[in-house]
Amino acid sequence: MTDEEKDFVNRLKDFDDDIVEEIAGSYPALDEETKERILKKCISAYGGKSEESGEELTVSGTEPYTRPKWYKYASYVAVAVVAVVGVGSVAMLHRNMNTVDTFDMKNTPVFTEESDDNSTAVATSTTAFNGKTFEGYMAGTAITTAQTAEEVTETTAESSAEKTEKTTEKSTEKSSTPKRTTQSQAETPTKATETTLSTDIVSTETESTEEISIEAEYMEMKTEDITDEEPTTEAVINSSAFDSVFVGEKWVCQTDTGEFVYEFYDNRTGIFISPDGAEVTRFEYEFGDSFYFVMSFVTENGNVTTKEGEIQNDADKESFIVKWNDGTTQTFYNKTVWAGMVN
Amino acid sequence: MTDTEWENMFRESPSQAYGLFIEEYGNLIYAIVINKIGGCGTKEDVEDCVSDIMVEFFKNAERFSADSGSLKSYISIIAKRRAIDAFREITGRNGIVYDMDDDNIVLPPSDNDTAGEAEKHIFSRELWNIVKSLGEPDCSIIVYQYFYNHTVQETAQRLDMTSDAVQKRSIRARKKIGTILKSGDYYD
Repeated sequence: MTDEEKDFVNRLKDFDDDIVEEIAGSYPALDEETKERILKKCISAYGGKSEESGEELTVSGTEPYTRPKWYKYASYVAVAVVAVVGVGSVAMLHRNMNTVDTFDMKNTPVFTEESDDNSTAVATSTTAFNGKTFEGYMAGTAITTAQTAEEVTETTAESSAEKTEKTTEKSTEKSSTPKRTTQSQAETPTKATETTLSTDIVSTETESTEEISIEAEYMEMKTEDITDEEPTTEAVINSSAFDSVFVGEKWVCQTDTGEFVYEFYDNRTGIFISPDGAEVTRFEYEFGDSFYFVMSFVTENGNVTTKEGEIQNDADKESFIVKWNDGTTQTFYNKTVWAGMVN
Repeated sequence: MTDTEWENMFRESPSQAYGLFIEEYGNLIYAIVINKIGGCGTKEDVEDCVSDIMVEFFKNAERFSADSGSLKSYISIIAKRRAIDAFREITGRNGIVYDMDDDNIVLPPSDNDTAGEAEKHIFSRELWNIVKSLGEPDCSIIVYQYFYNHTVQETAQRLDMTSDAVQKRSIRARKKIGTILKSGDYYD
């Protein structure tokens, strides 16, 4: 094919529209077979129906998918398993929750302050623990206990006024000196990994005979594992002895004026509460007094771990440091209460 | 059938209209498509493009109104637009990079080169006149063999001739056209 012929052939493929129209009319290219093929493509693409053939176009070589019957039964079984597991879980949860300590809802926590002449308001704490109830006495004491597994419910049912003649007398004598009357009960969690002891110290205006103002300010004292040798500003009970059996706490405070004990135990230990049986012992001290502390931790089995020490420095508004006999020191923070007392 | 009748048929009996439509305008669409993509696409590509054009028309058949223009123009516009799309698709699919200076390549007409388009129109018309001047059956042989890209056998079958006769006539016709083109007499 010559160049002219090649050029001519290529030009033939690029006719103008009117020539193409003329060619299409004079030289039809579609035979019946091609028309039918194109029409089927059209209908297939258009999704329509060939009315000429009266048959719906279908594809061949494929089969409609039918889901196996066992799928249905397998679904039933799966649903049943899920339902059983769900119901079982709920039942187990319900059952386990019944064994956990519950509040005695009838005894809604209430702090009442009853004033009496020359008296200090004392709140009685009733604690239900594992279905058992034990009582402690607090002088405006609030205890915050963090436990990992079990809940300790605390219900303060009532407050009672306590008169202490001794306190009154001493207060009268030292009317110009800020006095501190402290009653503390430390609630003892059983499975505590961390215990925070918040203590309210009640300030009593002993000279005023008609009104007693209770300054419920909180002092947080975090006790540290007594086996910890390092002085610390924040104590966390991490001894294994206290992990699960720490049920009580006892403080013995020796001052120049005598020895005062305030303690708090779970009644399961069988240890009496406070030296005189039931009453909370209060003690007084002034700035400059020296204290001698005996801190005893009582385990569930009745074992007592005791740690003795004395305040290393003068108690100030902020904190005091107890130097234990084993040479370690421990800082007890007094964030707010003492300041309130001094003021 | 007038355009108004087509319009009514598309509205009232679309399936019947489809069959008649292919009979009436199938060749035109096929010719337009093969004029655009005959140089690069296969026969299947051409048929697919024709099918797509018809589907597009069928989908929008109800929009056609005889008052807005002739059906043939309407179809031609759709066919040319879709054929150009198909040309781009085919060349892109085949990874063909055309050299614009290559005269052997047929590209869709450009609207920008007015002078060139005018010259091409003139030459196109003259060439078509030369082909027609060959007379039958040479003209048909040239059209089917080089415009529609039919094989010698297909052309022979369509023209009810032997393949050898088609081949000989085709060669003679090409030479004759080549001579005319070389002499430049076709401009007279």
